[in-house]
Amino acid sequence: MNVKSNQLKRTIFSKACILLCSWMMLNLVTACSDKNDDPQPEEEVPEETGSTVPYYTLQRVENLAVETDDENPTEAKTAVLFSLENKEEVQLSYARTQRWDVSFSALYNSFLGANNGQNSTSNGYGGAGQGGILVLEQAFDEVTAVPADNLFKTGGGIVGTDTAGDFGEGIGWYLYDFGGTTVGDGSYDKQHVAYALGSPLTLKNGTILKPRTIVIRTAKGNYAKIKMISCYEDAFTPDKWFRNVPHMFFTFEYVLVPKGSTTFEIKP
Amino acid sequence: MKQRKLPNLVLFFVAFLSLYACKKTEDLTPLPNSKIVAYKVPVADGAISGAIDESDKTITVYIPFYYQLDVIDPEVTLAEGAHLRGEIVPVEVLDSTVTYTVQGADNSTSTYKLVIVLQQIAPLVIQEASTETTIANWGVGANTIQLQGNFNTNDAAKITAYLVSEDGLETPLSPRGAAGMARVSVSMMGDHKLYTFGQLGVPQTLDTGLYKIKVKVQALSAESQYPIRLVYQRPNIDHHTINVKSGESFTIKTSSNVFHDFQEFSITINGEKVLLPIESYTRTEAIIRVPNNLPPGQYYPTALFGGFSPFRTNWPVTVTNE
Repeated sequence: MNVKSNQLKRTIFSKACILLCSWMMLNLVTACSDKNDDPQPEEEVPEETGSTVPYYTLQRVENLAVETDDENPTEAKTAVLFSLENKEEVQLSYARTQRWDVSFSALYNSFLGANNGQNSTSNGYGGAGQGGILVLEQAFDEVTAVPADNLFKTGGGIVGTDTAGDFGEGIGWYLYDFGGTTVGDGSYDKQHVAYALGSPLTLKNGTILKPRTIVIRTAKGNYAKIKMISCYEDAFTPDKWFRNVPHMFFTFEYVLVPKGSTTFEIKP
Repeated sequence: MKQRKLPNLVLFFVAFLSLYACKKTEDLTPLPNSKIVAYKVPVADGAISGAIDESDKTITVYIPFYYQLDVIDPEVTLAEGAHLRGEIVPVEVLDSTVTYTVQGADNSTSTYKLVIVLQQIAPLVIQEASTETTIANWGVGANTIQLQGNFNTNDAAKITAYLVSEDGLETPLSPRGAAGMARVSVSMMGDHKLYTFGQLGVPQTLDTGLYKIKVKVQALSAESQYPIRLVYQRPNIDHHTINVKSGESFTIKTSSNVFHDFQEFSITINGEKVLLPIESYTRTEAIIRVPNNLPPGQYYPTALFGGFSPFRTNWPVTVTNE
């Protein structure tokens, strides 16, 4: 009985030892795995690259100067790139980035274009720009709906001279009066004047041209509508535009709305 | 008795091991979180991901030539709580000096070096202007030079051409030629594309002699096997509008083939050649004097340079009274 009793005790003790050892070994493995010390999967936090121009607010750019050479008027000048989202000119070496939204190129740098990486005529060709451009025969305030994406053109040099004037190329943002007789009085000073069409323009024959509004899809897919006001330095109305007033100095107003918007709004 | 002590010892040993091991684990240093976890370059059809190597702290980005990127404008993703020192700005594709320093939420810092691998089609091959037996002559100041090769870009800004003198001095050809800024055009030659780059200008300051042609297209460069020879070719005179009083002087210029051995500048009055004295001249301009007694009128002058047929201008000199 004693022997049996001792054997039983030893068996129980041995099993208790095994259980205890197992618990300790388990402890050995798990005790150290404090959840707080575990390396956590790293969450990806993109750097903020938001625009500096707030949505739904009217912006005005005055006298954006671009290269001009009246001695050599037919030679296209170095394009100028402008960011509507940051309201600043962007260096040309950044052409194939999303850092700009509208280009000024071709003759007198007066043709506006989009930043689109898929279109070989765009300054942004090859880059990630998703931009587009179109022009409407509507006043800035009357353009309330964002046009459908398939209506936008995606190249460079798209919107420039209007067919109502000389050397027109479709609906444009300005009328070029070569002889000074389409709008002006035919005088020397009124020859070679470019009339921005942000507001209605009365021609010499009494015709009133509807104002034009440019709509831009920015490089990042937001939308802007633009009212082109002038290409003359510090001269914002037709009565102050003459051939010898310093040009090209673009003045325009615009409003930016976010990607996916269907309407243009200006909020107080 | 011995049998009883053995399990106790084992138990004690395991308990000790367990406690000791726990102490060791608690001492482990947390991984630093000053990490860049993603580096992407947006392009026309998506994004190119950079390869981040934590062992040597490099980010390698492969940029195919056909995107024609001058710069990359990366989107950088950091570990939670980390931030970059400095702003993310576009990086020129040939720039090998860029680093990014990340500061983690745990105050650790890491610096990554950016490696941009521009994937261009090599080798760059330019078509020879000369052959082994015939050396092509280019004028000093000529501005209609065209170069051909497998440039694989239609962006003239990515191509630079040089003349390399016999002593190895490289002088860039001017990208502004007779037709304005140089452009690139592409044509098919059999099954491959041939790129033409021009028109370019030979600097008016170069000496005559033998030069090799060198072209760089971003990271690639090539030099011609055979040289060209710079020579004085028939000078050109720019178009001018000149109104001058008799007895005064005026200046004529050239923006292409330079003036050399300028012998005469004359007009014709009643069938008679009348010389207008050349007061002085350089390679690029000449000062011409109108004689005192020259009658007012509009004259189409002729210039004579040694070794060449007379150069008759298609623009007049208008002479008024003194």
